[in-house]
Amino acid sequence: MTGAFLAPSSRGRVWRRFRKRWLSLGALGLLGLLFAAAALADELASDKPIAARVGGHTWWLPNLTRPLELRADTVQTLRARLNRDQGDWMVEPLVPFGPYQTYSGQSAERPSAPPWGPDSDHPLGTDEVGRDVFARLVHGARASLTVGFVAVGLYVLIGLLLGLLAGYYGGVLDAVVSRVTEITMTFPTMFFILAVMGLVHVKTLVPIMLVIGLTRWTDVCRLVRAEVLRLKTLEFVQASRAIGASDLRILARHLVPNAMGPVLVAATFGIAGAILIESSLSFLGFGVPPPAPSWGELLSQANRYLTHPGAWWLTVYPGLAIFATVTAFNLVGEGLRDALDPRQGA
Amino acid sequence: MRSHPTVAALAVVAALAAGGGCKDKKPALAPAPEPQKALRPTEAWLRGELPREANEGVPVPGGTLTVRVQTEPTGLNRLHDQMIEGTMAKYTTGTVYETLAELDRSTHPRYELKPLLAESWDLSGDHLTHTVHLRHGVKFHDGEAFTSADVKAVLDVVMNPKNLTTSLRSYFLDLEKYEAPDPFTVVLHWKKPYFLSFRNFVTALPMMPASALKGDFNTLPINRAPIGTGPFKFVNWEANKAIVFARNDDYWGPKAFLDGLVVRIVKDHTVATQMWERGEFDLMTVIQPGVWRAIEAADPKNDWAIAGYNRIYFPENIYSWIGWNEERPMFKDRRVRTALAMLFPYEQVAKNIDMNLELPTTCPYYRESASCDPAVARLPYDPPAARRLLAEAGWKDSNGDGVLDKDGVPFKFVFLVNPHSVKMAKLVPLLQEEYRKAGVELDIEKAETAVYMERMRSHDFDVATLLWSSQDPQQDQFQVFHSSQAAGGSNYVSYKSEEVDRLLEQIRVEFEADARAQLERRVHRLVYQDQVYDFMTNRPSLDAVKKRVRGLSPSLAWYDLRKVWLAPEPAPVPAPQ
Amino acid sequence: MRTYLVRRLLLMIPTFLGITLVTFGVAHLAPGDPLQLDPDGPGGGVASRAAIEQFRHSQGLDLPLGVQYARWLGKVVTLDFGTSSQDHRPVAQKIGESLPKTLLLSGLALFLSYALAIPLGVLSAVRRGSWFERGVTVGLFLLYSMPAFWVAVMLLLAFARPAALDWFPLQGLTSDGFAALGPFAKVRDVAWHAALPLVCLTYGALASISRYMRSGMLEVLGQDYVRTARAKGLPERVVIWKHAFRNAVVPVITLFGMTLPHVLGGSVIVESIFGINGMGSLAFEAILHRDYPMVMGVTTLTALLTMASMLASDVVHALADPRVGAGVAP
Repeated sequence: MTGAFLAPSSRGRVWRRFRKRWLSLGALGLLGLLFAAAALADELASDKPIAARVGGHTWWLPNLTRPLELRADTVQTLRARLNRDQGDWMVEPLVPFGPYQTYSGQSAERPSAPPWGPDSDHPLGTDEVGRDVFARLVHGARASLTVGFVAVGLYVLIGLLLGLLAGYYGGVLDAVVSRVTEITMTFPTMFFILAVMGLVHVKTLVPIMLVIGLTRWTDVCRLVRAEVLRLKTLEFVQASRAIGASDLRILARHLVPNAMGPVLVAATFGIAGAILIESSLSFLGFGVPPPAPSWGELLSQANRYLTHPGAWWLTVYPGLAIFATVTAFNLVGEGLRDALDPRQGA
Repeated sequence: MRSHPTVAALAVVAALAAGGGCKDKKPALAPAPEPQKALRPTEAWLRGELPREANEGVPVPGGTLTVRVQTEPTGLNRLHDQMIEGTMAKYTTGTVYETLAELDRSTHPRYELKPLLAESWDLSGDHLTHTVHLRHGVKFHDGEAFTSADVKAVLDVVMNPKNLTTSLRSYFLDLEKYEAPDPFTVVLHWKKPYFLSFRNFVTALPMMPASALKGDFNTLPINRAPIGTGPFKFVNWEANKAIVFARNDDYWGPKAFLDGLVVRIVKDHTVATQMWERGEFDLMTVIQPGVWRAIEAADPKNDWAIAGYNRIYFPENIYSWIGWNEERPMFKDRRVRTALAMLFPYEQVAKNIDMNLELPTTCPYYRESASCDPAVARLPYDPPAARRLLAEAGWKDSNGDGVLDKDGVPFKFVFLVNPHSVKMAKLVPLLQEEYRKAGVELDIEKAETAVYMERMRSHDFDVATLLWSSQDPQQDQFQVFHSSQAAGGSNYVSYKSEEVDRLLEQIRVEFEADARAQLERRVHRLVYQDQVYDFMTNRPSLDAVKKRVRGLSPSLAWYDLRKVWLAPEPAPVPAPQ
Repeated sequence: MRTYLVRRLLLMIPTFLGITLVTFGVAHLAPGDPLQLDPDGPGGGVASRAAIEQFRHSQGLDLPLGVQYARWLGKVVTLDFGTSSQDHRPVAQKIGESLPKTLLLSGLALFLSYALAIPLGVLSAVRRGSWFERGVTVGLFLLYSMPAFWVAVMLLLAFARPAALDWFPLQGLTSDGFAALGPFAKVRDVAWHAALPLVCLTYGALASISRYMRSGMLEVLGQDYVRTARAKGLPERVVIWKHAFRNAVVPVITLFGMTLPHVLGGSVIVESIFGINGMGSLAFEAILHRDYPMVMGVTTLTALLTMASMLASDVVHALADPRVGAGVAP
């Protein structure tokens, strides 16, 4: 999305260089898969079918529309009612369990209490309330990615704005922005985020995104400021100023597009960072409000099942999800950095 | 060397992810495949009963008992509201601190009064004057003699409205005056008769030296380093780690056998379990139900528990409940509360959350007392009936959005949840699902203990859950269910019933135990009928003690550590049955 | 240099004021009273109005916010942070008990990350394109992406469990009988306890520092003077360590000012998992209990620490580089 800011001529070049880094390319592919999983979460795992004809009534995409008539029904109850002789049919999601569906909504009686290990019903096992881990993971991906993108989008905006103003106008504005940057940098971010999350009642993802956005913009701001300071003295900026271009035009046409490269790199790394922060917060119980699915929340449950009884699937799968996502963003960021700045690359 | 540390660390984590997994792949509760190698627990062990030999033998002095506790106390001054905190009270009462009388553990389940720092007492026929004669020759740990001046000083502190002693002060609201006519006599005059006033007075007040109670109550040195008269004295307290006590060799009564007592503070249950497995605790407390069940399987990996520890299962006088705030219009109607109770899938909860360890209850009184009416049956889990009741109460989905509504108000409410409660973390998603199917929307709000209590006290909640606990089987439910207690008392749900009010008032002045029990049974019936609370369960204590620990027996008043001793050698492993 | 230092110190004043203002704002923006009472038992929890008023008054909670801030700031200057509302002990005293532990851990973690990161970074720059370099780069990358709490839990599972490798303790920084140990045994005991937490605190910083070291080295190796030195026929060792390394390492060293806040932030999770009573646990507990004086004390002090370390790294930078750049992008 931010790539649009890049000067068109350089975009192709950057992509050609990026393409050569197979690791980053692979990471980009992984991210693509992740996005697809998050986007198609309701097709991959849901307690309602993708389409079904039961008892003479046909539903299309009840997993998305969630019709009232099916409120008390799940894939399992529909399966029991399915009468194939009457022409009934059903397209089930990949895993026929939703992220909120506890054992009380599942028909299978089991001898032991959850968490249940991976089996044919639950490919990645269940959590301590019998909710499917795969369903929690793919639906949790939405939360992680949303937090990552929105928080970083927010701080890129803040950092860009402040950096441009400070670098371009200098003087008092620069001094003020520098102070605010320093205050924000000096602040123990984790303590601050925890304090805000702990003291404010969290109902949605908004506070997490806001608080990450408001505390992590400093790198972008400093990058942009330094870049603007450099660009300001260059000929083409001086020239357009000489022909009477407005400040706004200079900022928008010359400075922003040129400063965007390093910002993009910082943003990519930033998304990885934001996802880590979100999962840490959820792990500590300050993140996504329950019962919403989140990777960190699964890991905090896992902490209760390390031994006696063990539930390794609660540790391994969400851990891998976080790890793979963060690695992928970092690798893409690395690839971008090298592609934008060939001096550094390998 | 240069690159190895990184690579090695990485390999280890990778191996863990794979290897750690394979090891535990089989379900923990399944029977072990190699029964010939694994130890098989005895029936008594499974039930959590101590074997006979755990209370036999000739006691020998010496040794230290290490006990796990779950919470770090904010202080050890047992008078201060912020330091009374449930768990730690057990470890200081009867060890460091002593009260004028104690609950006699040998008279379970009645728990009669037995003199401790009092030698005897005279109670007036009108129940308004209590004269207590103190024991002579008792010394505090700082060497000062214990006299009536100390009792008076403790009462002074409790009765001072500027002190945070409101919990204890609530027992003495009807106290008219108190005096110490001589060094070994204390006299209390009450404004009104009350069946528990004497019992509260002699069992609730820990005795401390008057000299140590002078100064700013919040920052007294004894808040961190308590001084009492008990068989153990305080040694030191390392924050978040341990509190250490040593035997008081100047104790007025029979001296304790143990040289010392180490209270290890381990908040995290998983860590505590691992430390327990390593044998770091002589007495492991608050075992999680899942762990309790997981170690029952005959499996070599459970040998440490089966061979090394005796388990103790003891139903305490604690019940858990879900409270519906009747100040909210939707919960005013008894039918609504009943319907919600019928949506509680208690059999599933018992099996999957409580691991069949907790005891379902309908009664606010101690389950083994005569105050509970055994004829009261639990409401069944019956969603269709619940839906009918809701409809009867006027809740219908008139706008077709899937959520019931009445007079334009949707049936939505917020459940206040303490984020530290493992049980609630497991229960609430389940309730959410059950309610949603019935057209009732439940939101969750987390609140830390301090905030949680504040919200309950100010009645600023829709639905919340709490435990009521008492070490004394004799309880007064006046504070909890009397309508007057909705303002400032513990009637957080604002329950109002004229009949229950009248009964509770009668109970307060009924000194005849049997007659009182009759009244209390009626309270039990009415309170359950009205579904003031969704009564959940009585919680047992789930503890385990090393086999060499002797003389320990469970009671409502916790263990009597004066009688505990350690067998010199670790007890031989009993032969498998 | 002197004017630079004076200017730098003066600039810290508005920063400090800003930090205290934000801290104070956050602590007072939240609802809820810090008063905590016993949740158990009928009879518990009926705080009388007089007791609550007395408490609020003693904490100065009944004054206007501006006055509260001014009073608090006045005390903070003398390192008096008031008393904790959890147990009424002085905040400074509680911080004093936990700060050494956190400083020890963070200091060691920083030291370790530098000690490992610098050689790794230099070597991977020098052997650019080799399998060694690729392995290290990928390895560090993976490390960098691992959530600390996950690693901590995995380490505990692997190395502190009778069922696995029972090598390290689970909790705390010292054994039970620590006070009775001899000086050498004490060091050993702490090292044994600190090993796993240190791994968790170190690996993240290690990964990022070595990446800076590598790119710094690469840049320097491309400079004219290095080429000249090589052209002169100096041995490669001398070129790398004497010429290139000396110049490349300065900006990396000054990174510690930026790394410290991350390590301190990481201590919240690491300390809570490993049961260490450091600043992280203290902050966490204080937040849980709405212990405002404590939250404000911990944040202010941590910010002060960070400011000091940033100052130190700026001074080092200024000493090494007379031009004093705009700072290093982290």
